[in-house]
Amino acid sequence: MHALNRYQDIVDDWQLFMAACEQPLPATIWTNPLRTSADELEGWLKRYQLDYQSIPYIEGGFEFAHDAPVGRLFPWHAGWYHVQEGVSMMAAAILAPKSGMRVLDMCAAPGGKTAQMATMMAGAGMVFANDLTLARIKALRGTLNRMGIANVISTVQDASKIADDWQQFDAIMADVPCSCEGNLRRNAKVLNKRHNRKYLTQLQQKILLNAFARAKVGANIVYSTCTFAPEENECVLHEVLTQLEGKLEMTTIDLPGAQAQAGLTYWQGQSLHPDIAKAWRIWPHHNNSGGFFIAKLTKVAA
Amino acid sequence: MINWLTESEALHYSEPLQKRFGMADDWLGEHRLLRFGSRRIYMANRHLQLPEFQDDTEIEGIGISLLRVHSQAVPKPTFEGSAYLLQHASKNVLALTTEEAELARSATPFSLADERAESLERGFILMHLHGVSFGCATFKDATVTSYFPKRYSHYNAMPLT
Ligand SMILES: C[S@@+](CC[C@H](N)C(=O)[O-])C[C@H]1O[C@@H](n2cnc3c(N)ncnc32)[C@H](O)[C@@H]1O
Repeated sequence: MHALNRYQDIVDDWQLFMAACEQPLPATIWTNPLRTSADELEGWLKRYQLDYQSIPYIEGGFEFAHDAPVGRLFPWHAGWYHVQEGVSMMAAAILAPKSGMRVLDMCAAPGGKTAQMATMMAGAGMVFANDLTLARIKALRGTLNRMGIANVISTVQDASKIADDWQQFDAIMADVPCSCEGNLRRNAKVLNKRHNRKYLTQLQQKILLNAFARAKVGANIVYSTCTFAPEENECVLHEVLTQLEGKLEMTTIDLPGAQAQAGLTYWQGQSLHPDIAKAWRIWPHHNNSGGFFIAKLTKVAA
Repeated sequence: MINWLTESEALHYSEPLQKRFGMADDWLGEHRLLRFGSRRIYMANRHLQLPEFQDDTEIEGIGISLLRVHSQAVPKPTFEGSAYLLQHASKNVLALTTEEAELARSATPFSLADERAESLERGFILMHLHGVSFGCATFKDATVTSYFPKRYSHYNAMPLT
């Protein structure tokens, strides 16, 4: 875990953080409102005599022991729920697209957030689920079919190159490729993997800049990663906010029941845009989850 | 290539399904039918509007798969399409017992006692266990033969109580 030492000064409680990283990740699911209700699903969980508790920050979300066989219960194949990491559910809940909106999910595969957003929209409006890789976006198709989600178009394109002809969007999810350190409770090997950080941060910036270009004035954009690295989080936001001063603004996140730490405004000798404190750094001990970073932005001018 | 079906093309598929499973006239709700590549009919939100992509964007898919195209009078719903139909159907629906659900899952035919068989017509039926769709089956001579897909057949991690 020495790869984590660089975060010692920025984690709010190092002991709790390290203890949480040693624990297996709980299994978590969210209820598909197009198919059933949380109450009906609970009826099934009881039938299976599973121990569970509600996830406080996700309506219809449930948490189980790490080895609960939630991916192999009958209601799963009928699309009553989706298995997804709890912390990853937060991003869509924070963007909270409304029925009838035109939504872009720029890096969508395997599609948990797409499915969540499309169901939040009650199947109305449309979600463009895009990814660079055809093979990865194909995994999304199975989820959409299983859950009866009929308002999604899946596409293959580089998110940094999505062009004018896609028209403007009311809400955009930029859940960008990253070094994935926050997945360490699921797979500790993520910490040993080498990444070309310069390449990644440039791509992340390009994707966020393009999210701005594709957003309608007034639209919200969620920028998220599953990594702890400030270079891929606050530093990307800093560059983009500086370039788009007066056009793109940070927005306060409101997700009752969820715990988080404020985004950093200082990293390795560099002061960052003060509004980045509105972003959420979610360490594994906050919500007994993986690690995540979420920023909510609003396009205020073209 | 995405082909939205015209109203009469759509009726060709939707009417027999509606008669068979006793759905209300508006059972398709906000959806429209379309063809996309394979021999399946898909269902998508009727307000979906595709931009004319000028770049090399590839469309991987749209909507959900509803039924298979073949020559039978009533089209065969896909496993996933059956779950949607079940939410709207009022006849030719079979509520399974736990034992029957296990047989349906392994695609083992099983027979029904008279009183339950009488409520079903020969042909495709939809099955569920406590509201959870088990897809479609054929019903003939008081016997149910399920089309539960192999890709899901190992789904039953725990015994039901
Ligand atoms: C963090 S994952 C997305 C997870 C997804 N949002 C979900 O909730 O299931 C990042 C994704 O970005 C995709 N990706 C990588 N480079 C990309 C690019 N230039 N344009 C679009 N997608 C890209 C990867 O294939 C990967 O699926």
